[in-house]
Amino acid sequence: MPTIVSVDDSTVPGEGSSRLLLLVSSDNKHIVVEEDIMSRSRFISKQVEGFEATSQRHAILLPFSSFVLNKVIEYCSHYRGYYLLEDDPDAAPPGRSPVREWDQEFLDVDRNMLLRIIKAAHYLEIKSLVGSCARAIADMIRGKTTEEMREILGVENDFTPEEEHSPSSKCTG
Amino acid sequence: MAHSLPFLPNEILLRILEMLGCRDILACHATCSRMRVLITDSIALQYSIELSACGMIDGRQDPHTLPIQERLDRIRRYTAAWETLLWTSRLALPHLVGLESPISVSGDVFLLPPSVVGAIADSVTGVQVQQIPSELRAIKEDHQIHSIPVLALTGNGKIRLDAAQELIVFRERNFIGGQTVTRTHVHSLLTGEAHPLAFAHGVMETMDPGLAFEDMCGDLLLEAIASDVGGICTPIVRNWKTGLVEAKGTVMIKHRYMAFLDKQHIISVTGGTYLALYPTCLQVTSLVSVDTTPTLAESRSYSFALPEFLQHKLLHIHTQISNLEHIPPPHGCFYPDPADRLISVAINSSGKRFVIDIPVRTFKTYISSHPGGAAAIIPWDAWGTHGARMVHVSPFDTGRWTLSGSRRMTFRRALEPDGPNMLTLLDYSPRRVARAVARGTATVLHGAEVGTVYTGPECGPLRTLLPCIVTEVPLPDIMGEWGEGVESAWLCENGVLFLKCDAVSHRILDACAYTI
Repeated sequence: MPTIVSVDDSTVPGEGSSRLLLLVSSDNKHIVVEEDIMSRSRFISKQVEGFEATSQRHAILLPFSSFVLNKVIEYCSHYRGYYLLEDDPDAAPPGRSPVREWDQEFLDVDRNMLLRIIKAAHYLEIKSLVGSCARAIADMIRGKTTEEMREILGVENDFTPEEEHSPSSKCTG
Repeated sequence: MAHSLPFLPNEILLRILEMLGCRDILACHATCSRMRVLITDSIALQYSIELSACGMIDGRQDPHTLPIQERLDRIRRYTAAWETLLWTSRLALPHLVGLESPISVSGDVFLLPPSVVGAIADSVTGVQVQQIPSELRAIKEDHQIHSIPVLALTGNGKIRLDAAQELIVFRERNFIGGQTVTRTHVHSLLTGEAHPLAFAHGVMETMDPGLAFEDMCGDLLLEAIASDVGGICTPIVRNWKTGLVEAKGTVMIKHRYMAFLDKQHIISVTGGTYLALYPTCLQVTSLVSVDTTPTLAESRSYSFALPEFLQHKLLHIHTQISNLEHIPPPHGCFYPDPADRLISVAINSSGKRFVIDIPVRTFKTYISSHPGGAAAIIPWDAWGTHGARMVHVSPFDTGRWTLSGSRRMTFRRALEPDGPNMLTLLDYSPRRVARAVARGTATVLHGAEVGTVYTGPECGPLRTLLPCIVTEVPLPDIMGEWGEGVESAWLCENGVLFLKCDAVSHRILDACAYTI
């Protein structure tokens, strides 16, 4: 659970449109970032709305490491000011997120990092990033056998022999 | 292990799975119980699996159209209908006095002649478009009949439908001042009005009395000489959107009966009533559109070199596509399928019946690589009354999103009261056939020819990848179920069985449509 700590107003000075936010990662790194950049995150936007309602600004504690947080901030900085349909809370969700070349390069990281980024993006409610990460993970899984998938996903076969040979889905029975 | 996928929230896992195809979803399904539950409970994933199992693809991913649950329900009903091969409930078509057969058939739509009171067929004022309500076609009962209000047709006008393009083309001939004026009308199937994209308000006027409207393909209309005696034919290919002649030329023919238009070729079937009298050949003419001098480039004639043809030299090329029952054995007939650009040929020979499918797109390839000229030959061990038909399943909905997929069925002795009511089904989806066999609704025909009907890259990946499987499925007892009032029947090119019933007590002839 994120906790909200009070910070000194001088730490986060309000400067009109480009106010600063203080984000605190799980490894206790303090990262100052412009509010504008993070507006893509629904989670942060809601926090900021809360600040405005109470006229009190806090540091925002996040449950993931600064390494991951910096990566997310890099993503948000890149798309600063861009309109992405998936991130529009009022727009109908698109059937499939579009392929963005920059994202593919950006997400060319190892599996663990990718999983951490998608969890962070999910926590921060950045739908476009969740979509891009999901696509990258899907590419990793695609074409693998069930056995290979278990290895990638790190799961154990927990079926009884009968279960394992039951129809593969209710529709195909 | 802390960051392996199972520790991701379900919502994220679903996002990942939704990006995968059917095969990968099923592989994930087999990994562990959590994935299994997740996949089984997700409507979107079930829809994706079932769509693939049907060999279909969803046309448009538009969130504003049908919700995913409704799509899934439709797919399930559709699959169930194909598994059990349920016959659609009888649809009686009223006020069709003296109706012999539909005027034109395309996809899931067929065109009925107008309601004519009395026997005057010269001044026709409207036609009716019938969409066949059927689970097999995934068409609900509420889209049924649609009347195109006023089409000033003369009795000898020719009408063609292109349901995929929502197009109806008809031609009328008038004698004005001693001259024959031919008007070609291009109308929208939905509204009956002139098609918004058509040239000159949908009416093209020509002074060529000898040219008959033959076929259409995409933007092109084919006109050729309507002649039974042969001679010099001057086919004209016109673009109905621009009104321009795209290609024009001269082709020497012998005895022409039918012509089909492909995007690049004109295929004409020429020949006589009996092969003994006139050599029968398929003539393929390449279309070339030239800015200054439109021409038809080289034409090639291909004779049917099928041994069975030549042994017996008895081939009747039947011009009435839908009028199957007037083909007494031993004769053959041609069935063009406009939707799939396919010509099927059924021939009787030495007590066996052969069905040959010639995809128009790969016609040249087949002819050159198969000296026999056959794409696939399916031997029929007994004579049937009805030949091979193409069943085309599309569109799924009212055009806002579409599913496509084709199924080939061969009917054997289907309408013979004494015969075993069996249906030979050639299916592109091995999964479907396997399921049908598992449910006991089909048995694999031993010794039947199992092979790929279509080969070659032009035919599309689905058909290239999936081999066809021959199965036998019991059919309902047609004569018993429908009573003895069935006077005659036609199997239309879209798989609709068209029955003309004589209800003696009422002395009214009813036409009924069935989807097979």
